[in-house]
Amino acid sequence: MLEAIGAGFMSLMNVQAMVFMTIGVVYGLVVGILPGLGGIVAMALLLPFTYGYDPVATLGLLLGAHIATIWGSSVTSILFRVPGAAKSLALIFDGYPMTQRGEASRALGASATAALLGGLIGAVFLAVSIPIVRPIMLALGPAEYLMMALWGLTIIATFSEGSLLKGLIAAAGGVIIAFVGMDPVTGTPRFWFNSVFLLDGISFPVAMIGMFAVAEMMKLYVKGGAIVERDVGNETSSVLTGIKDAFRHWWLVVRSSLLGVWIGVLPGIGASIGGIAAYAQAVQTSRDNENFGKGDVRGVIAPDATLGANEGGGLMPTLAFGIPGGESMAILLIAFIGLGIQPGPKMLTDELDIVFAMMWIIVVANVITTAIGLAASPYFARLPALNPNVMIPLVLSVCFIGAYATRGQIEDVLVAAGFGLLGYFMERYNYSRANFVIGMVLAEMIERNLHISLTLYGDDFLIKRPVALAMFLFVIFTTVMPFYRNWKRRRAAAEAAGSEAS
Amino acid sequence: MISRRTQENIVVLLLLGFFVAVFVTSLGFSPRARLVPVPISILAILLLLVQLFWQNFRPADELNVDLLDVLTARSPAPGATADREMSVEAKTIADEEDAAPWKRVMISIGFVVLFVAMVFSLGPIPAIFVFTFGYFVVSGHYSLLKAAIYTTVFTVAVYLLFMVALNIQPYHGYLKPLVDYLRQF
Repeated sequence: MLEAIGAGFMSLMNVQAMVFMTIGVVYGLVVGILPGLGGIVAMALLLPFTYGYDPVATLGLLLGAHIATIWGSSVTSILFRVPGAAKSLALIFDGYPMTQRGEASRALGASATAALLGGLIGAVFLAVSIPIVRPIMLALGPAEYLMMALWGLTIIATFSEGSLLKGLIAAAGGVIIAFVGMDPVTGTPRFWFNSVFLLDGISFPVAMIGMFAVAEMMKLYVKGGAIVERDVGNETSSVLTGIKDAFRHWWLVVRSSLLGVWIGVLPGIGASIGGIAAYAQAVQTSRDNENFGKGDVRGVIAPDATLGANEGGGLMPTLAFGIPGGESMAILLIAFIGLGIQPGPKMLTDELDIVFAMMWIIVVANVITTAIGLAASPYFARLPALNPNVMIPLVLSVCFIGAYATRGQIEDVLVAAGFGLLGYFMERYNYSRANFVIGMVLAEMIERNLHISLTLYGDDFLIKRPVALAMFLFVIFTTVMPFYRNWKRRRAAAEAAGSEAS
Repeated sequence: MISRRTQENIVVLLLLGFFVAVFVTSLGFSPRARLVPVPISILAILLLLVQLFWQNFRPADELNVDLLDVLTARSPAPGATADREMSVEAKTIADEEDAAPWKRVMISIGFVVLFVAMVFSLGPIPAIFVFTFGYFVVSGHYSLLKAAIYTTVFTVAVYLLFMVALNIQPYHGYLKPLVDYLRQF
C-alpha cells in the first residue's frame, strides 16, 4: 500500500502531469468564476483533450479543473451574490453580506482555506477507505454489482430535485441512449436505423458537451440581460484574517468535511445539496447562531469545507464500484473509458497507483487552487462582467469543435447540438440532466452484470445470491421510502389542520 | 398561449412516444439483446403514465422530495429556508414569465441550428469565424473592426488548440466540391 502511495505521488511528479494540472486549475478557476458554466461544463469541454496523453496527466487536467471550478464558483457567490454553480448557493447567505460590509478578502481567505482543508480531509478519507473497501469489493460478484448499479440508478432519482418520477424517467432515458449501437455482449446492433455512424454508439463526451455546455449557452441567451450586478462597500479586511478564521473554527471544518465525504460517497447526491446541508448543520450546531445570514464567517467556512471534501468521498464509489457519486464523477468515468481504465476490483488491485495518483491530484490541485486563487482573486473577480454576447459564440464554438475533435466525425457536431436542445428542454421541464447522464454511465454496468449473473447462476440468481437479494430489497426500500415519508408528512399536516379547524 | 400544464403534458406525450418506439423496436432484437431495453422502456412508460395522471389530477408537489429533510432529518436552517423560499419565488416568477421568452427560446434554437448548418457546409473552423463574427456584429456588442480582430484571434487560437495540438483532420464541408468547381473558372 505504501509503495502504491509513493508510486502514485511519483507518477504525478513529472513535467507533463504538473503542467496539465496547473492548466486545469487555471482554466477551472476562470470557468468557475463565470456564472452559469461550472464544473460540469468545464469537464465536458476538456473531454476531447483526454485522448493520447499520459493517464495521470489527463486525470490531473480533469480533476484539477473540477476542483478549481468548485472554489471558483464560491468566489462568484461571495463577491456577486450569484452562485457560479448550484453547489455554491449556500455561500451567498453569509459570503455576500461580508462583501457588502467590505470583508470580501476575509471571506475569500476563509473560503479558500476551508476548501483546502476539506480537500485534504477528503483525500485522507480516500486513502484510508481503500484498504477497508478492497476486501469487500473482492467478495462481491456480478449479481451484487448489478444490484449496486440499480441502487445507484434509483437513489439518484430519489435525491434529484423536484419530481421523483421525472428523475426516474430521465435516468431511464439515459439508459436507453447508452444502448444505441452495437451490443458488446450479443453483437446485436440496436437503435442504429441502418446508420454506420450510430453503429459506433453515441459518444458520451459529445453528449456531455451538448447536454451541459450547449444547453447552458441556450439558457444564458434565453435569460438575457447582464450576468451579474453588484453594489458593495470599500474593502477593509485582509485574506490573512480569513485564513486565521478557518483555523480558529477547525472543529467546524472537520465536521463539515466529514459531511462532505458522506454526501460524496452517496451516489447521485453530488455537491449541490452538500453546501446547503453544511450550512444547515453549521447553524444548528452553533450556540450563537444569530449572526448567520448577516455575514458570519462560519457560514462561508462550512459550505466550502464540505464542497472541498466532497471530491474525495465521491471518488470512492466511482473508483471502487464504477458508480458515480454525482454528475462530475460520471464525466470522470467517461474519461476513464477513453483512457482504458476500468473502475472496480481491478482498479483497487492492479491499478492502485492510479488511484493514489488521483488522491495526490486532489491534494496538490487543492494547494495550487488555493495559492493561485488567493493571489489572483481580485483579477478573476472582473470576469463575470463579461457579456453573454461574448460568452455565447465563444463557448458554442469550443463546444462544436470539441465535439468534432472527440472522434473526428462531423456527425458528432449534430449529436452535440441534439443533446444541447434535449438538455435545454430537460432543464426547462425539470427532468434531471444529472440523472440522465448517470443512467447513461450505469447502463453498461447493469447490462453486463445481468448477463454474467444469468450465465453464472441462472434465472433465479437472486435466490442463489442472498446478499444480492438483500441488496435488491434495499433498492426497493430506498425507492419507496421518500414516497412513504411524503405521504406520512401530508397525513400529519392534514390531521393537524383538521384538529385546528375543530 | 400554451399553459405550463399543457406544455408539461406535451413533453410527457413526446416521451411516451419515444419509449413506446423503443419498446416496439426492442422486440425485434434477440432475447438477450432486449433483456434490459424492454423492461426499462416498460418501466418508463408506466412512470410517464403516472406522471401524466399526477400532473393533471393531483398537486405536483406531492411527487417532490425534500432533499434537505432526507439528508439532515431535521428542520431546515434559516439559510436553507431562505433558499427554499427563494426557489419557490423563483419558480413562481419562472412560471409567470414562462410564456414570455418563447421568442428567445426559438432564437436560441435557431442559432444552434444555424451554427451546425455552417459547420456542415463550410467546415468547423470557417464556421467558427463566420458565426462568432456574425454574433458579435448582430448583437451590436463590438464594432466591425473590433469584432473582426477578436474573432480572428479566437479562431486562430481554436485552430492551434484543436487542429494543430490535437492533430484533428480538417473537414471542409459540403461546399468544398462547389468551391473546387468554381476554382476551375
